[in-house]
Amino acid sequence: MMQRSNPPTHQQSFQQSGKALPMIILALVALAAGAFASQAFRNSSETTTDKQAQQLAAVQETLKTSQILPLDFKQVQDFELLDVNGNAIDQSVFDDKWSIVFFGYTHCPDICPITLQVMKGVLAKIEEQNTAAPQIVFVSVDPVRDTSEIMKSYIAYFDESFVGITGDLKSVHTLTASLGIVTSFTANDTDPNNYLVDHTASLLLIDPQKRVRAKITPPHEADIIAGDFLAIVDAPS
Amino acid sequence: MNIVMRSIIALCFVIPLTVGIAHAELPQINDARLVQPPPGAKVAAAYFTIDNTSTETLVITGVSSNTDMHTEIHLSSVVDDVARMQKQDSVEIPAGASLAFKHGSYHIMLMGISEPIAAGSELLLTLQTSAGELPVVVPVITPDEASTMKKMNHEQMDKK
Ligand SMILES: [Cu+2]
Repeated sequence: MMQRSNPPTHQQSFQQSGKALPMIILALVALAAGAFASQAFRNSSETTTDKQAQQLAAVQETLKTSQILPLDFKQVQDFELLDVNGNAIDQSVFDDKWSIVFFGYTHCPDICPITLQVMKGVLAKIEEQNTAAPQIVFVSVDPVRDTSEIMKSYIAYFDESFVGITGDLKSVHTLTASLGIVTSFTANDTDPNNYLVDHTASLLLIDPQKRVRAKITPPHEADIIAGDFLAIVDAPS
Repeated sequence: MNIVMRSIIALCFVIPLTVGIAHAELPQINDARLVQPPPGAKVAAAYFTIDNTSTETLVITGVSSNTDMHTEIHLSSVVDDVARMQKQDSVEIPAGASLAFKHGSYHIMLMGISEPIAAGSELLLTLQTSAGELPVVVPVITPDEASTMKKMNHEQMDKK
């Protein structure tokens, strides 16, 4: 290794005498060994990944309403939005804890309130199992009508611990789009204030490294979601 | 006129009359409820079950209420993982069939809530239908009452 750090000397000794040859052979052997070692390392990391994939596939078999996503599928991107108190909130809200994220809006009387009600049930079921409950995050897909103030009273009705995210429409859209969430607006011909918003129905499960780990598909039922959550949290990552 | 002719003439009056009575049989509306919306919500959904006991298709063409809220017939659905509500111009219920307005499906959408809707109060909806106007008294219930109701329905279903 000395020769490498000091090539001119090595070259000199090579030119000056044939004694340098064994050194070169030694260096080649070392290189080959290094190459082999790195090859071996690559093999072992491949096996780990394969094993992990197999384990995740086995966990997937046990899930009732969730779709496990590859570990490198998506990560929460940096964002700057508003919480229910009108304060800045960013990606760090997802740090070091599991989160279940729901995308909806308060002008949705049929599906959205029931989903939040179900989330309350999910937390209760998980806590019964003495496992740390995930953080529940409600991201408004209709931030123009869903001001922080409205979000606050709406969410508090279900559970004050739920995190609400709203803010500038474009920034919300950047966040939702980066997570693969679709939203589309339908005008109301008779009442322009009462437009409708179509949105992805699935919930997302985000891990403590901010990776999107699973999609929780509807219909949403507390027992089933809690069971899937407990299985995914125990899965290798 | 002999007796046979008289009977035939009489029957001509009686038959349409009885058919008319069958037509006039009003649809039955049950389990009407509106789950109290969270504070801050500007919208709510009313549900009920409608049994078309008549011999003709029942068409619901509109809805109004005794409040200043804007009301529409909506259908919720989840298609390809997209949750959506769509306004319905009309809803048809075949003769002898029943249709549940319920969570995740048909609902009466109430929009523009200006004052909180209290649990325990009642709301009056009027459905415009092919059988005339149908009044629906809708009690406002709490979410807890709604989930108890759901459980009871499930148990009834299990017994069947
Ligand atoms: Cu609706």
